[in-house]
Amino acid sequence: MKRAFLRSHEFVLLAILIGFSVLVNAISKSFLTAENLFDILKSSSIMGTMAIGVFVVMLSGGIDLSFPAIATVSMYVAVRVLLLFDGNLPLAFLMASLIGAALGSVNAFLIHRFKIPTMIVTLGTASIFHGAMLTLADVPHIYSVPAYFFEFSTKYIFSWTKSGGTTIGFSTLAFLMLVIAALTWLLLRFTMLGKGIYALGGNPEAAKRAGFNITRIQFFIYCFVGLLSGIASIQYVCLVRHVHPFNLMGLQLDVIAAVVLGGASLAGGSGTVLGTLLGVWMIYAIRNSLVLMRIPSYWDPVVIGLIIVASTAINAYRQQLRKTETRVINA
Amino acid sequence: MPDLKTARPRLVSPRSATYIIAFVVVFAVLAILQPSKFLSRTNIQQMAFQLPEFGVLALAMMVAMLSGGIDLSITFSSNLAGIASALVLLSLSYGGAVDFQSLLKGIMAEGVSPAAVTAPTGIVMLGIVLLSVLVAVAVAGLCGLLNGLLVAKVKIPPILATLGTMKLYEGLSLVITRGSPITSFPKPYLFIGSGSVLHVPFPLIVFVLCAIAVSVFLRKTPLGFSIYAVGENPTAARFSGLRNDRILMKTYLVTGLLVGVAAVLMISRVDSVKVGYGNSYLLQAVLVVILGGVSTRGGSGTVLGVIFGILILRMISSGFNIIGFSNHFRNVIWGSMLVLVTIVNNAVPALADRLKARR
Repeated sequence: MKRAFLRSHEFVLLAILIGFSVLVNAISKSFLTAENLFDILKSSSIMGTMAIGVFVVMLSGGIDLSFPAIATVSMYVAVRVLLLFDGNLPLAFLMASLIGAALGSVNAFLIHRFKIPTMIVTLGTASIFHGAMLTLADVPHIYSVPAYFFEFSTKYIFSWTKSGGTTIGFSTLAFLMLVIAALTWLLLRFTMLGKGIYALGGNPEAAKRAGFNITRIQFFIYCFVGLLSGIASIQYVCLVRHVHPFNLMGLQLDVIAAVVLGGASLAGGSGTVLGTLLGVWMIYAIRNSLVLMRIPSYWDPVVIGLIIVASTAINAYRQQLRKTETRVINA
Repeated sequence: MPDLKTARPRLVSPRSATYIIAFVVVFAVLAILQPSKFLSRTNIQQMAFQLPEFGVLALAMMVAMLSGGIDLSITFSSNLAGIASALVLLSLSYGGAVDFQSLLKGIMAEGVSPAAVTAPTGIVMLGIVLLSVLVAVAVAGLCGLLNGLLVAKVKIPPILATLGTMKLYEGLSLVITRGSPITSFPKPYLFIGSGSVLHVPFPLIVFVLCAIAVSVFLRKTPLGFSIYAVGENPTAARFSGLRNDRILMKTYLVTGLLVGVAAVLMISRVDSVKVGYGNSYLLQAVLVVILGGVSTRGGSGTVLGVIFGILILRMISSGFNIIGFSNHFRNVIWGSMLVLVTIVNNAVPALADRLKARR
């Protein structure tokens, strides 16, 4: 058991993450401080929530390019409606996640009913959802959001005050993301639905013959990623305190990069929730270190691109290895 | 070897015939509804100059999709190629008057007026223009080769590989230009994108030549056959003695070379280059390739079908212009079309099978 963990993708990632942190800290002393680490944890919580949803999709062998559009729509509609009356934060989360799940079910319907590739469906629905919102909304951005959004982002599970007066702590936003991660892990590990998702990703035909209800599983998967996109969008409103129609739209790549870095493959059936979180933190750690080392932000896409290429290459290599291993066993 | 004669794509497949009908219908509807605007000289001219850059990009996407893959990096590799081409062009033609550093910031920003600097003329200028075109094609070719390497040798799924390189090419373009545009190309270069020969737009001639070249390449060369074979069934292709990895490398190289041509057409038409130009072409390129009858799983489709796809899309697009649809609403329509056409394309073979079975 122990040896299996030492050989796992998660352990390798963790080792790289720690090694990287120590290296950056040697150059810029402000990396490995409680303040910076908790800050990374907080700012990465939005991408973390999205990444967990996208991980579940990729586990089932699909891909979702529409989740930033879903997040943008559910964020806008939820906040817009809440502005009409005296709303509160739980209501915001509830509404956004329901809208997200509803939009996700559109993806699920198209994918299941017409059997078209998930990439084509979600590429199409992404521009449908986003375009429809921008066409129908008279003013697509909201700059003054109710105070309860902001208050939530400044709450901590535990915190202490430094001598300088700055508060350091474990943000509620990060806590929410970790709760979602834990629930998803339990779902994948201990429920029949979770096993079904793994089975679907491993081999759809076999999963069907084993008696899994593919329709139900697929609807769950795409509604789930929609729901998490909705939750992530409200987390985002809490953090940045405004609603903007384009800010979330470039996130597909970064989130997919994080998920792939975390060990998931496009072929489905592989990866873990822990790996996904490590992938997200890795990307944020690298970004944060670029800032600390004063490297201009236009280097960002180069680094992210290299990370995607490198992590997908490693995954492809590992799969190649596994194939030869099984061939040896079979012989 | 499999019997390639039966695998050979016909010039006009029944599916292409459907597209010819669709083309005529769309054309007729627009011509009847808005004859004064749609059939006006300016509208047709505008279409004739805008279509080629997108058309060549769509051909590039088609080649990648025929092999069962996809290239999501085309718009940003065309940006990178355009930037490289523009840098070579400007530093050679305004040599001495413009240093490299100010080029990177955009020469206009430095207050240097290129009009005051006399660019070389005659054969020297022709050489410079040819060289910068070659640079664009070479850079885009290298981008394609990297994609091919990642897909064929490292065996990364094409979506992920090109998603990664898309970000990479965008980043490199940003690092070189810091996001500012490069403009003021010498006149002879602008001819490529906006000149005419005997009233025929020069870019249109380039597009037609590219289309013929790709068609001949796919139908008459061994590599062309092999791309279809690998797209249709990679395992079968391997067992019939094809070297899949080499074929895929060359596929993405061809895609890259075409992207380079599109890059030159694009930047010489608008007389500038900037990161993010032609971003909306990506979704549309996938759309016309699927519209043109190329299967989402690879292996089938003709150049003629894709050309009709391009024509239909451009006509609808200019129809939107006339009606005055917003860009956002257009995205809704493109997205819906992508999903609908894929559904129809997937349903048609199944329906045909059912009819055959009944008989």
